[in-house]
Amino acid sequence: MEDLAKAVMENALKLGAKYADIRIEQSRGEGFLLENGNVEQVSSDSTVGAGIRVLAKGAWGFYATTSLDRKSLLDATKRAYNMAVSSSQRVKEPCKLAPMKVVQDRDVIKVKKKMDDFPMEDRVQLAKDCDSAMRNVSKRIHRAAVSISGDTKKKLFCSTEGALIAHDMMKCYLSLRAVAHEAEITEDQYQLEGGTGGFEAIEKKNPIKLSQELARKTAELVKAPTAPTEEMTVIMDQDYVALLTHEIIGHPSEADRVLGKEAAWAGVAWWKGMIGQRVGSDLFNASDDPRIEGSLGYYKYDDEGVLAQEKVLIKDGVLVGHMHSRETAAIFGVEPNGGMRATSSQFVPLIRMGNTFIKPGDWTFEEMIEDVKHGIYAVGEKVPSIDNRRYNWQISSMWAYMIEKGELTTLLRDVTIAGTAPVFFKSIDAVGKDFILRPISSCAKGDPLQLMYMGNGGPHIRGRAQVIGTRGK
Amino acid sequence: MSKAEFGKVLVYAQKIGADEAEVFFLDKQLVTVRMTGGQVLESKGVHDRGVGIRVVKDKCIGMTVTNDLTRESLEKTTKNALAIAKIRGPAKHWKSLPKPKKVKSVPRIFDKKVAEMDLEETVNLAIQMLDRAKDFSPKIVDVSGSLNVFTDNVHILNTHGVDVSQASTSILASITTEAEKGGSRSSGVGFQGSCSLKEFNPERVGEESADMAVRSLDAQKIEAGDYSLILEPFALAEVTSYVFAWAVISKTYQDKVSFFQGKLGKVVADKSLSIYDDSTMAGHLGATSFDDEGVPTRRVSLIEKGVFKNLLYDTFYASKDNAASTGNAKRAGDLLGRSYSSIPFPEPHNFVVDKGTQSKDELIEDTKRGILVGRIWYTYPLQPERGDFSTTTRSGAFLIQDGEIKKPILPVRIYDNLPRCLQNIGGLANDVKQVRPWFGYYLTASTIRFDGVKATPV
Repeated sequence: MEDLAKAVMENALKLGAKYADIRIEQSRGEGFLLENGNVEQVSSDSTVGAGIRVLAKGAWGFYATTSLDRKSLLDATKRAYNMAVSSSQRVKEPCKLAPMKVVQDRDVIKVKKKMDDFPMEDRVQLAKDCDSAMRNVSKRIHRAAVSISGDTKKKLFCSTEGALIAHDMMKCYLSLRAVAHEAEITEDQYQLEGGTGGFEAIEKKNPIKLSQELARKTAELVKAPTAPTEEMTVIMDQDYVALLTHEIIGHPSEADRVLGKEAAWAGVAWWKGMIGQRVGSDLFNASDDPRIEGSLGYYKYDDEGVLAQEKVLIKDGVLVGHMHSRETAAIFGVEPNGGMRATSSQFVPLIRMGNTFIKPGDWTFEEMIEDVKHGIYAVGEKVPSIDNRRYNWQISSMWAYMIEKGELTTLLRDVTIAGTAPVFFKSIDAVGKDFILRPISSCAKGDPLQLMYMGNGGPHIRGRAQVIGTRGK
Repeated sequence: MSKAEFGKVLVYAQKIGADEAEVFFLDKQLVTVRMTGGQVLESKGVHDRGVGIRVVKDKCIGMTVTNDLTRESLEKTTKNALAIAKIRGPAKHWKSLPKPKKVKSVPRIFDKKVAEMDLEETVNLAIQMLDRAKDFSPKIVDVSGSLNVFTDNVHILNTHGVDVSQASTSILASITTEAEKGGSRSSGVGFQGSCSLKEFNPERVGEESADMAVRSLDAQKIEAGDYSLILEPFALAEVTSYVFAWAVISKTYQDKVSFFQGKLGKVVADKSLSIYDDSTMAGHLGATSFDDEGVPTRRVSLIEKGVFKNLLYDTFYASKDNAASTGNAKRAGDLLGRSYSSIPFPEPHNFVVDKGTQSKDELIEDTKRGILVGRIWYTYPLQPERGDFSTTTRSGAFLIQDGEIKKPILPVRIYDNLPRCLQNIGGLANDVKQVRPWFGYYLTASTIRFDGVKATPV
């Protein structure tokens, strides 16, 4: 396949491409959904595909195919080239790519329990054990759902500059859902675990214990009061911080968004042009780093063949950088930092988070809570609504506790926290040392839309925000 | 791949012990032109084809997917489907894969001109959209958007004799425009979709978007409070796609997490409101003669004069309720349109909200204190079980006072409860349009007014 990829790249140059790359992928996936003890859906897929990107006359063209024979790939290259030439009719500013170190390498993810080492029957049994664990917690648990999936991907990246990188990847997910119902109140809570590597990544999370904890809390929530509506001190747990980081730090740090290239659908970034300016308190530090082994956002090279590295986004409260492609790096006059990923060979790469997080500080949770007279402790992430500049946000949490005189008191359901990015960031007065990276499995960007997996997280943080109770019954 | 080859897959499935089998074959061509900064950002194409094979043995159901269409691969994939079906165990409620029924073709969902449109022609259409927006006014400072043109060729066969095929074409176009005047910046959106080239007007997309942006300049902040919220169709589509849809899907109702739980047959909305799922409308996006299991489609009444009438079913979830499929099995995928990789799941094809009798202008005249909005953003159910949703106004937002559009307004956040909004409909206009939000469902609807909605400046 390597020889074929090289031949296709040579052909792209002959056609007149200034630059081209190809991603050839072979994927295999297996998944199922188990509900209340029964497997409801089961599926298995095995697919191949190739995507060819061509830069010609200052414009991009791309073509993807599911036929991997020489003739089809050469035809796809020609189509991608023609696409670029057609696009170039209206290019005012020809695309330039920042130079990069071209490598030939192989990145093989460490996998202990491969797909065949942990067969579907055993995965179903694990799911059944999780399901029982959830439903045995309380009669209020009306529905328990467990899904376990794994997928492997072999990917070959080859470019006209001579890059040749083979990736051998595996990732897996465990999702748990508990629905409790009593006296017309329903609570539906969901938790995702996952990472790159084999099924050991799931097993080490202690799925049975996680299932019991999720179900116990969900069952308690149907009897819990709703949250008050007022501005107060808020402590967010790492899971809530993961979604907050994803939405209002990660997304606006994508340089294509900063430049307005995603304005039509995914939105823009409120901190455009603000590099070097203060956006939060001194305690506020954030980075993206795909190199964390086992994380869902792990990769060694991005889909332009650039070596992954830490991208410092916010340092001591000051905005210092963005995530880049080679194209946006050239526009900003910086080095490419390896932020380009495509969901599959059917799509062009976009600037994506790898693992974006708030960096840990030096507070313990106990220290954070002890001087709060009246506040709220938000646990877990549920659903976000963000404005198109990633400036104003409302994100619901799975549940919360009141904090009164330094102690956690009443459990609360239906809690939403609202804020405005710079105001909230500047209010951060405590950052925990208890850092956790969480998996995010389906982040939407692009047109046609691409769903991407990544890691997000941070430690507990404390600030001030608006808390909102439910408007429903 | 020929029909004879599909037949061989079914025969093979039965030979190795399957009671029932189904082949879903899809051949898809998609061309996308993306624009940004007033220029074409990229053009891209995909040719994707493959099969989803579903087998049933002793009520155990398994589905496998491949895009290697050689005989060897198809047999291996079928064998694997049977193997994972056994792991699944029996679905006691399962009746059978769909039986053949008469399929009535929906007219005008395929246009040869669209299917055969060359790349240059597609890029030229995109440029016409772009140019119309750019040239609309000197105040226009940025234009971005996309044009997606795709053709789905689908063929579904099963061992009961279902054998249906269909080609459909779709053009989806949207333009986002930014205008600027003396430090004030605003945005507008234009959307158009059609199955045929004849019905597609690229210039209108650009014009709609630029016009909204220019009219929205000099926006001012408004006070927090209760307003009548008037949503134009493109804004309403976010609410129907991301908040309303899941409440009427049978799976949600079976899980008891719908905010309409226990309300089937009861009043859930103002009597002026009727909502359907209708995939039988000629020339409309989302229209299809049969669903992704080969069941003939029909108009499904969801809310009729305020009463909650039906849920959306595919074959699997219908069998759980001892009901019939409503023809809503969908295999939605990563790319636009169908996907051979997805397990069928009940979803809407095209929501239709019955129009009212008044014009949009009359609806505005009838409004004392309201917000008219063309595009809302990131509309999600923050408390899905309750129907609480949150959104912000993004484009074309205006303050209405005493029946008149007073001024464009800066973004506001809206946090409300959909069941409450549906009970408080202040009026429906008759300006029907078909739209589709970013990754949502098609909606054919007119402008609608919800009263007593809380809005807070962002």
